[in-house]
Amino acid sequence: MSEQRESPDELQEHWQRQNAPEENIDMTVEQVLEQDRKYQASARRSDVLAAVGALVFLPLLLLASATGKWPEVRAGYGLMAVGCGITAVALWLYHRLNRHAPGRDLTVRDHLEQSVAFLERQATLLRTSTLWCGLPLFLGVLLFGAGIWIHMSKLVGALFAGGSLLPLIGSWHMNNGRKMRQIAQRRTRAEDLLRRLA
Amino acid sequence: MEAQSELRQRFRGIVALYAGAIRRLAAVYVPNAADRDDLFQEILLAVWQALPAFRGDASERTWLYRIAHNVALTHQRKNRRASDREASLDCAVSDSRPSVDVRKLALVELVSQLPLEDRQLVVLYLEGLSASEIEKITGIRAGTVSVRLTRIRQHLAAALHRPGVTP
Repeated sequence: MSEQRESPDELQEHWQRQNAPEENIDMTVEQVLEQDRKYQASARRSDVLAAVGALVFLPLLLLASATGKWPEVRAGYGLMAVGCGITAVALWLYHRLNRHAPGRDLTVRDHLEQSVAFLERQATLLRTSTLWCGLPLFLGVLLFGAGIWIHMSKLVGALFAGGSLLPLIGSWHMNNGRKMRQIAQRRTRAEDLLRRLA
Repeated sequence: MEAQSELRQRFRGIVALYAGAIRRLAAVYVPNAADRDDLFQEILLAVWQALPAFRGDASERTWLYRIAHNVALTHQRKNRRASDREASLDCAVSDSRPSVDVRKLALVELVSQLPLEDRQLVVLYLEGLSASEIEKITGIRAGTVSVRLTRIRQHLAAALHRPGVTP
């Protein structure tokens, strides 16, 4: 029988003989350390962006809400400030969650189980973000438009509200939808593999 | 600073010892050379980042293969092209007729064609790990590992001896 002609050791020998180019160890180590530096720098950049969002936009919006001309506009700025603040915290949480993905030195099965739970948490965060991040922002813009409608011009108010809200909601929806699909795909693959490993 | 240089030395030792094995592993997870290099780097980066926390509770080899397989699986879940390829290869394996392409493939290609769950096991076996070590890496019981490996080995041995296949 042909199945018996190859002994286990011969298979291992064939395997370990293949695909083993001469490795420049020092160069490989340097490349990895450089990648690590880039990774750390990119993590710091995300933190800085979230902090800038909170430190620059939030006080500006709060100031505008205190000094706004009409009450609707002041309330609008106030709501946008709330949305902006929550978004900054949510972004920070999201990046923090990404950096605390399941440890890689677990068994493959444990890693997959934890990955599924982790992806579920990410999906929940994204799914609910429209409610507690998006809604204050959208309502703020709407109130701002209402202020213009009441005190200035109906046409300008409607154009402002429609022109700002439609692209804002559209891009929000598309961005969230794309991320949700990616998470769902990764989760399905992880669950599928878990089933096959069982 | 001293700790950092010590860590670097340990990492250098790991790269020197396991670079070949990691490259072979990457070759069965991803289709093209550029992606393979990316995965190789990604695995080493994960090893470097996990190294400070490694206290030697498991053997270095078991610890490294856990990281390597988990990174490779995550890479594959994120990489649609690799996953699509996997689906098509899974279909090819389920078709038991010997095709001209299969005859021409060497061992690494034959392993690449196995379903993912088998591929994981056989790569570890081919690197010389025992069933109990494979259990510590995959979480699949050693008994199940042995049964599956027997079947996979038979499949590989038969495929390698089809006319036209030169390992």
